[in-house]
Amino acid sequence: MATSPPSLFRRVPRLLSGLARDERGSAAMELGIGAVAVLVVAAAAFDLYSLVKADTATARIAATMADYVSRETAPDGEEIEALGQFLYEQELRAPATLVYVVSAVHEPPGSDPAVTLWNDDTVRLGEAEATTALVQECKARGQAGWQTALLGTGTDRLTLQADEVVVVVEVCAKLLRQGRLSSDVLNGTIYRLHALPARDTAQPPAAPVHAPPPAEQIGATSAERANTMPAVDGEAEDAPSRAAAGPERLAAMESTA
Amino acid sequence: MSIAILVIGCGGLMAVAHAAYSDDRLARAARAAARAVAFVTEASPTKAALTSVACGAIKRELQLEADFDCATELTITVATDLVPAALATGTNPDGESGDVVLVRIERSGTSSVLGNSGGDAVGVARREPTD
Repeated sequence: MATSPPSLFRRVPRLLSGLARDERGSAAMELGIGAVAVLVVAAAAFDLYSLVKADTATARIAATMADYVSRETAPDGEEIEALGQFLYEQELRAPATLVYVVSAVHEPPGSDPAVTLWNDDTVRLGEAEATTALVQECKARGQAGWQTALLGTGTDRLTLQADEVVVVVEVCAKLLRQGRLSSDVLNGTIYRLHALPARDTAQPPAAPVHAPPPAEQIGATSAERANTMPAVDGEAEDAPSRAAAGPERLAAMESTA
Repeated sequence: MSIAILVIGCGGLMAVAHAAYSDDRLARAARAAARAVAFVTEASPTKAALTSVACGAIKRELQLEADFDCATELTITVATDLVPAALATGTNPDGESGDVVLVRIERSGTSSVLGNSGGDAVGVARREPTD
């Protein structure tokens, strides 16, 4: 009968106040909390390092690819793929999904805004689903960024010289979870672009011609591209016909001008 | 203890920033070297001449002293006239010839002016038409 709940309630506060006054083990607790803090900072620093390194590498990749394509009047798709793969392996050096979106923009004579001659997003490194999403994101950022500045009709748009063709290379990369300590904290998409005038002013670069994919990949690849490659000027075209369309479009524009 | 954590944390962040900076410097140097070599329009330059051009570009890009010894501090590998598919191996397939320049820089010395990057870097550029 003597053990009643009120006595328990009286003992709990006494125990807590005793615990608060007890200083034994405080150093161990401080070390435990501090170690967690140090580990979190270390993980964040490591991931920040990976992200900064990947960001600068992506900028170099875009510059190198733009330099290569801008010098070619008939870019070979396989060579671009080989260069893209090499740059991915040697410059980025991190597990990542990476896509290239290469575009050629022509400034017609007169006051009309520049037009896109072609764009090519065939070089994709990574899982098909991830690269498809990344291409869409890359193109969306391009539309909101350089395309607004170059292709827009506003008075503040950037103007090129008459008949100038500019090659714009956009590179989008997303680091994978492998090689990073945190998964979601520093996980943005890296977007870099580099634009260079086409070197040969007399003959603008044609769209890269890629080898057809292996038979077993044809269905998936064409389906992906149908979703991710908007037709130039709103026309419904397939990739091969667009590949040959650059010089013809320019010739047509020149004849109308 | 709190001070120690702060010091370690700040030290870690500074080390990360410095490592990223050093890696970027080495990569920029490799790219500058490749671009400089790409502008050598001589038809058949010697390896020594190309390496010298690459060294000059590296010094200029990294703003190094004139007496910086590339031969001691760096291993510079230059390959020219490659096709893109041969970049990984550095040797063209039979019968093919391209115009891509590849410069690979590896640290072989202990000079602190190159930072604490311990790795290597590659630069790729497309060669200008030769004479």
